Parts: sequence; C-alpha cells; structure tokens
Amino acid sequence: MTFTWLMTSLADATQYRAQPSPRMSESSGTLKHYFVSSEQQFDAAKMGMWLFLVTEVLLFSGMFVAYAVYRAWYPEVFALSSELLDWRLGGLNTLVLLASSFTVALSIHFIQKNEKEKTVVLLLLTLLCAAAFMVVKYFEYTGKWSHGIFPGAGFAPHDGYEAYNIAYAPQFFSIYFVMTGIHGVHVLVGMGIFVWIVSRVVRGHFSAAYYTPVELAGLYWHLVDIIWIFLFPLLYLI
Amino acid sequence: MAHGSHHIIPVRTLSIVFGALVALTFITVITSRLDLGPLNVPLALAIAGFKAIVVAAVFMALKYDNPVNMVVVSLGVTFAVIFMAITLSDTALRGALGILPSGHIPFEVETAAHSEPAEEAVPVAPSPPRTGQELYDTYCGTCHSLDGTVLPGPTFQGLGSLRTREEIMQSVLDPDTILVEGFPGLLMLSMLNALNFYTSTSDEELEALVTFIQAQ
Amino acid sequence: MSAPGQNYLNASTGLRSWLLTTDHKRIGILYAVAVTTFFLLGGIFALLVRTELAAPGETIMGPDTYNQAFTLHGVVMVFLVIIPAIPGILGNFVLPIQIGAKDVAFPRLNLFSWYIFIIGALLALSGWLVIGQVDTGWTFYTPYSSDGSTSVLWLTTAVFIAGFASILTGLNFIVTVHKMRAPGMTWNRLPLFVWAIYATAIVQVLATPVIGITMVLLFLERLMQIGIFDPALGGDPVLFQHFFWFYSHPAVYIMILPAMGIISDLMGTFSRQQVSGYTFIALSSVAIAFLGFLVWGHHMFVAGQSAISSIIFSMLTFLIGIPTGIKVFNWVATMYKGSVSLKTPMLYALMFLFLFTIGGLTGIMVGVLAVDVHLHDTYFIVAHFHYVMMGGALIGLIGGLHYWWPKITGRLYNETLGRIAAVLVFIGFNLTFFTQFIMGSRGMPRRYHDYAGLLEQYPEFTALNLASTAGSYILALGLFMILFYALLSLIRGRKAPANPWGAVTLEWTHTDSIPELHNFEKVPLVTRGPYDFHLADDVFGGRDAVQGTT
Repeated sequence: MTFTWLMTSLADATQYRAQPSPRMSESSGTLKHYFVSSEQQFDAAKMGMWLFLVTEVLLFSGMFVAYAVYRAWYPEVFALSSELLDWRLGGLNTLVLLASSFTVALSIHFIQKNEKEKTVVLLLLTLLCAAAFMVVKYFEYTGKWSHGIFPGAGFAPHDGYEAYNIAYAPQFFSIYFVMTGIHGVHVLVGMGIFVWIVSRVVRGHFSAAYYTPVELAGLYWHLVDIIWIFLFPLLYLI
Repeated sequence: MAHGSHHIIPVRTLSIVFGALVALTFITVITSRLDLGPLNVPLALAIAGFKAIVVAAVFMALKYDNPVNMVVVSLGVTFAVIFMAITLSDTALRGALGILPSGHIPFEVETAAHSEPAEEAVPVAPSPPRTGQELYDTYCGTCHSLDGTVLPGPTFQGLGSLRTREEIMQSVLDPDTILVEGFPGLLMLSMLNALNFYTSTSDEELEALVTFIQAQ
Repeated sequence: MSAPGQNYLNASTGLRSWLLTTDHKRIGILYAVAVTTFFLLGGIFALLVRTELAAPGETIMGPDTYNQAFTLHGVVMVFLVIIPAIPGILGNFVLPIQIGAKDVAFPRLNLFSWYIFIIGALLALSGWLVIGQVDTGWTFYTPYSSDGSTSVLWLTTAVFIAGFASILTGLNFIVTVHKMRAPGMTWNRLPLFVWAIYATAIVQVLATPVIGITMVLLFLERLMQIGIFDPALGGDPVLFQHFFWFYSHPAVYIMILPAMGIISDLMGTFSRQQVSGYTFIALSSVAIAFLGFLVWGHHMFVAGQSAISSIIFSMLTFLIGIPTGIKVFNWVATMYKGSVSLKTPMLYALMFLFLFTIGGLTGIMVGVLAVDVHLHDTYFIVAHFHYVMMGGALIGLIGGLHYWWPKITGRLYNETLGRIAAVLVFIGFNLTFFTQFIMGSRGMPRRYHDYAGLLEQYPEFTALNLASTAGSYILALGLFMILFYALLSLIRGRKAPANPWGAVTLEWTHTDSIPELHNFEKVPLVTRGPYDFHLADDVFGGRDAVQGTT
C-alpha cells in the first residue's frame, strides 16, 4: 500500500492537467503552485524515488546481514542446505526478471518517442514476466513444503529430505523464505503498479512530454531485479 | 523545455546490456559449478555486483542522470556495507583475545528444539544429560578458572574446602546472595540468563555441576 | 494573490480542511497536537515510575506493572514524541519558509506521513489497551520479546508503520532542501536549522529501514519461530542488538540534531550577531549524522559482543565528541561580545547548552569500555540519556516552540510566566536526573522495581530517590505551566508583529505576522546569509528593525 501511495504522491508532484501539448510552457498554469518549473518537478520526483530505493536497499541489507552472519558461522550447513534449492529454477527466474527489466527499459525508450502502442505492449510483456516469476516461485515453494521444508517451527524434512535435518538448517531456510518472500511481495507490488501504469498509458495520460510515473515505476522494478541478482547466487549457487 | 534534455537510450545499447546480463548469468552458474576453493564466493559476488552496476547505470539511466542521484545511491550502498562489515566484525571475531566465548549464543543447540510445538517454547534439556564438566565448559569456564587464574569471576580452585554443597548450589541458583569481595554482582545472573542456563538445565544436571565444582 | 488579512489559519475552516490539508504549516500543527498528547501520556508514565521509586518497598504498583510502565514511557517518548517532534512540528512549519519555498516537495506525501504516524501510534496504544502490556523495555531485546507477552506483535507492527512516517518525512525534506530553494538561497546561506534537519533527514532515510526489517524479523520470530534472534531456537540475541542499535543509535541523532539546529538559530538571533563558525556548525551536523552510524556497538559492551568490536566501537565513540564540541564552542563564541537578550527562548538555549554538555560529556565517560562495564544498566546511564534526550532534544524543542510561537499562532505569550516556567524546568530537571548520576555511579541498577535490598550498603539511596521523585514533580509543574500560558496566549495573547525578535531569516523578514497560505506573495530573492544582521537593515529598509516591545 505504501508503495502505491508513494508512487501516486511522487507522480502527483509532476502531474500536468491533461492537454498533452508537447511543449508545455511553464506559465501555462498546469504546474503545481509550489514548483517553479516542470524541470524542477521532474528532478524532485526522481530524486525522491531514488531516496526511496535507498531505503529499500537498507531494508534488504538487514536480511543480507543475517545471511552473512549465519553463513560465516555455519558454512557447511549452508552449503548442504542450498543443495535443496534447484539452481535451474533460480536461473530461469533470473533470466525472466532480466528480460522484464529489459522490456521496462524499452518501454521508457518508446514513451520518450511518443510511441504509446509499443510502450503498452512492452509493459504487458513485463507483467507477463513478473507473473512467470511468481509461478516458478510458487512451484519452488510448494515443492519445499511438500517435503516439510518450512520456515521456523514447522521445519521437519521428510520424504527423502531427512538427511537435511541438521542443526542450523532451519536458519538457512528461514533466511531463504524471508528473503525470497519479501522479494516476492515486492514483485507483486510491482505488478500492481504496472497494471495501474498500463491503464494510464492506454487512457492517454502519458506522452513524450510527461512520463514521470512510467520512469519511476521502472526504477522500482529495476531495483527488484538487482536484489534478485544478488539473491540468486547467494542462495542457489554458492 | 519540459523533458527535452532527457536522454533517450538507444534500443541498441539496451539490447547489448541485456545480452551481457544474460551472458553473465550463464557465467555465474558455470563458475559456481567449478571448484575454485575460496574464490567461488568472491567471484559470484563480483559478477553480481557488476550486473547490478550495469543495470543501475544503463537501465536505470544513472549514467545520464543528475549526479546527485548517484551520490544518493552510493550513500545507501555504503551504509549497507558498513552495517554488514561491522556486524561481521563482531560475530566472526567473537572469542578473539580469549576474553569472551567464541561462536554464537547459545553454543549448543539441538535441532529437536525446532520441531517443538510453538507455544511457550520452554527448551527441553538435551538428552542425554550433560556432565558437570560439560556444563562447566559451556556456562562457567569463561569467568571461573579451575587453576587459580583470575578471570572476571573468582576461581573454583579449592572451592570444595571453602564452601558447603548447599552454599555452592545457592550461589549457582541465586548468584547475588553470596558475593566474594572484589567481584561484581549481577554480572553472573545476567550472563546465565542470556545463555538460558536456568531454563535449559535439569535438576539432575544441576546436581552434577555442583558435584563437579565441589570436587575442585 | 491572496486577499489582505487572509492567512494559512483562516484561508479555510472546518475540521475537514485540517485533516485533509496539504499545507506544510498545518501539517506541522497536526504533528504538534499529536506529539503533545503523546508527551502527556509518556510523562504520566514517567511520573508513575518515579512515584513507585519515591520510597523503598512497593509504593503504588507491583513489579510487573512497573515493567510495563517504564516500557510504555520509553516506547511513547522515543517513537511517538522525540523522534517525530522537531522534524514533524518545526521542520514542517519552518523549513520550507526558511528556504523560501511555497511548500515541501511532496505535500500529499507529507500528509500521508502524518497519517501513518497516527496509525502506528494508535496501533501501539490499542495493543497496549486491548491485548495486554509489553514489559520488554523500549529495546525489545530477545529473548524477552520473543517469549513474553503477545502484544509485542502489535508493538513491533506499530514501530514498523511509524518508521515509514519517519522515512517519508526525511525523504521529503532532503528533496525539498535540494530542489526547492529560492533563488539566491545557496547552500552556505541555509539557516543552521535547515542544515540540521537536512542531516537528520539523511539519518532517517538511511537508518529507519533497518528498524523496519528488524521489526519484521522479530515479528516472524514470534509468529513462526524462524530462529534468527531467539537463543532457544539457535538464534543469536546479540545479533538482534546489532540490528536494533544500527537504527537506534543513529536515532539518537535523529532526536538531538534538530535540537542543535534550533539552538544555532536561537544563539544567532538572541545574540544579534553572525553565528560563529557557520560552516563548521553546518558540516558538523552532517559529520555527526555519518559518524553516528559507526558507534552503535557501545550499547553492547557487556552483551557478549567480540572484544575487538568493543574496542573499535569505544574508540569510534570518542570521535563523536569532536563535531559535538565544535558546535558547543561555536555557540559559546556566538554569544561573545553579542548583545545577548535573555528572552524565554534564549533561556532554553542556555539551558540546552548546560544540560547537553553534561549529557554529552557523560556520554564520553560511558563510551569508555572499562568504565561502561561498571556503569552499564545503572541509573548513570538513565541520567546520561535523559540529559541528552530531555535536556537536549526536548529542551531544544521547547525553546524552538517559544521562538516560533508568534509566527505559528500570530500571538505573543506572557514573557514573565515563560521565564518562571523555564526556571522551574531547569531546577526540576537537574534535581530529577543529577541525583540519578550519583545513584548510578554507586550501583543503583536501572529498571528495578525496588531498592530496599540495597539500602544496607547504600542507605543514601532513599534520600536520593526521594529527591529525584520530587524533582520530577517540579519538572512536571514547569511543563504544565508552559501548557497553561500557551493556551492562555491562544485565547487572549497579544497580537504578534511579523518579526518580534528582530531575526533575519526569511520566515521573519518575508512573511506576515501569520504567514499567508502559500507563505510568500512572490518567491523571495535571497541576497545575504541567514545571520547577516549587519546587512539586513540596509537590504530591507528597516523592516527588520525590532517591532513591538516584548
């Protein structure tokens, strides 16, 4: 909820009233009264978004610290436990997210050129990738649960996973579920944002003259991608 | 001049970056299958870091952006690194200088504790019961020596002839009733509480511990 | 643009116009109302705690109730009062005007921040009323928090939500300072209050997300026993303390830095001369913000963290003394050869200087590794952080509220009552907390419900505790007096001139007695620094001359 609010609030700072004239003059009265120029509005919104992304980095840093601390204490446990995570599925998800980042970057390219149909198609592709990511995640999670690999108290490996019932394996899987879970929540939020953005592009709210919300949503999405870029090797590979 | 100055990144550049990111993903998978000894982790992190920088620079257009945003990002990353580095300087170095126990607290945990039902997690004493020596090593040895060495607490050497069994038991259960001059109160109680001594030790084990101490 | 006589207070009326306002000035007042309410609540619990300790043995409550009382006092005062107070009230009201902006960069986000702050606060308090009380202390240390009362879940959720308010406020201020400055308002013409709020905002943005994830992990620890922090499950309680203090130590600077900014402005205005070492004071705020992130482990010297870390943290802690010292010496130098006028705000500025110096220097003492082993968890620590938090942050806030009161309300308060209250606060505060230094140095442990068992060795504890409790009543009397004459001023205070203090920052020189809806008729062009008293008369043709005779 916070994210959508932030998006609307930041976007609000840069909102013009409809008439999408490409050369919006600064005296046309469409500027928020507390800004001097539209350039100032745009810069402010973007800097606000970057600051928000920094808070996301710090939020995730806590989980990375927990991972590093326990990994440094129990490297063997972490090495053994990570065998249970399928690197093929993780790798597939990495590629899916990279592709979605690519489509978002392209969509901004085309909105800057006022080619709105392409923008819409690319954003829909992004949504598709995000959905694919969540589907893969769903099969990974349910696969673990069916063997009794739960975070925390429910941890009771069975059906061939008994060998992984060792001390501190619960810590590894707790960290795994918390990190990927919170990341997954961010993916879902991103999907919500893109649905909103697509609907606004379709309704003609954005153009080469004004596309700030698209750009801010893109920044958010790339950060979600970057976090996964780190999660993948740390949890699945090494 | 609304957005006239904004850089439009060519499709070609974006495609090259995407290609590079995919290639790097394959490289990181392949290198992780090789046994590079201690180099596996730094290599994987270096590749991930490079990928992240590329995404930030091109996809997020940081390269073309107002430099202040670059400063913002760098600050965030710097403080995340500080958080991690300083925390690890504690957890990885606990036990250095021989003053405090190493490893993490508590020092011995049975996985069985995890399958316990959630309500009122009173940790069950691990079976079989630990011996007096084991308990001493886990809970007492940090502060009380057996050979007369002065540590944060008084030595146990010769304690059997100074104190009765009841007095020793009382000192274990309620450390602040008898204080040896020159040693702080409260410390032992808080340490033992922090180590879950009172909740994880059975009566049988307590007796074994007192017997062990008395024998010194 | 606006009709004559129209200002932000009468531009629109009705409850709705307040609850849906995006005007930074009105949001500042919303914060003022909320924070004052929570301050009263936290204060009542402080008085209950002190009353219990007035005499040995059980006085008015049992040990469990006592634990809950000091926990509630701590949580309310830290998360709902001191952290949001100065940025929320004065930062919102003053900062945009001081930099010549018509509003903050994201006004809707600003209102949204207030609402999440209120939601967090209500959640904390309803958890306390409905589910049961938390007795972990405001630090939520595991395993107390992972085993104890279930309302910990509510409280961690509340802190998580309130944290977002802090993050978004900080984000808003950083962007505002970067992007919204009036023409000519260069970085070295920013008032020092703006510099301080800016440095604070950096800390808010960088540190608060970590308390967010800490609360999430603690929540999951309670809910699913994930075993990261709970020692019974193989978790590490000291790791929790790292997480907690990575936020909560910088949070100390979230509390004190804005107060330092207020003091800088007060020193300049009431000494009527250029603030000495402007650049140094400005940059020392930023330096404190950064160094503040490197010292959190000094809260954990006896918690079982590695000896090497403790030594490093102890050394880094001393570094904080350098930028802090720079500020204190420059404030003193500002008064030197100035025409100091001892108006009520200045009395609080001087009080801050005195109390904060004691708080800061005892901070260096407890930062010494060996000394801390003796003083840890005693009343010495309690006294130390009250000298900084109350004697520093809250006294700074009260001084700032007196200073900007005429601008916020358009009314003057009774100067005589103001001075009497200031004296009462000063006496009450020192009586309350200096006695605690003495008790703490002799080993009176904090968070204890009773000290009867210590009297054989330290019979003086009875008298010292009684004196401390008496002091807290005097302090409360002084604070209630402030509330009284503030309300009196609202009802029948004299109308304030636009610039009653003869200050030269924009909020005094370029706005009406009560600022208009969008602050300025036209965006000001800034041609001098914030404390250039010698230039001000020339530039503004005497508009800066002292108006009124207060």
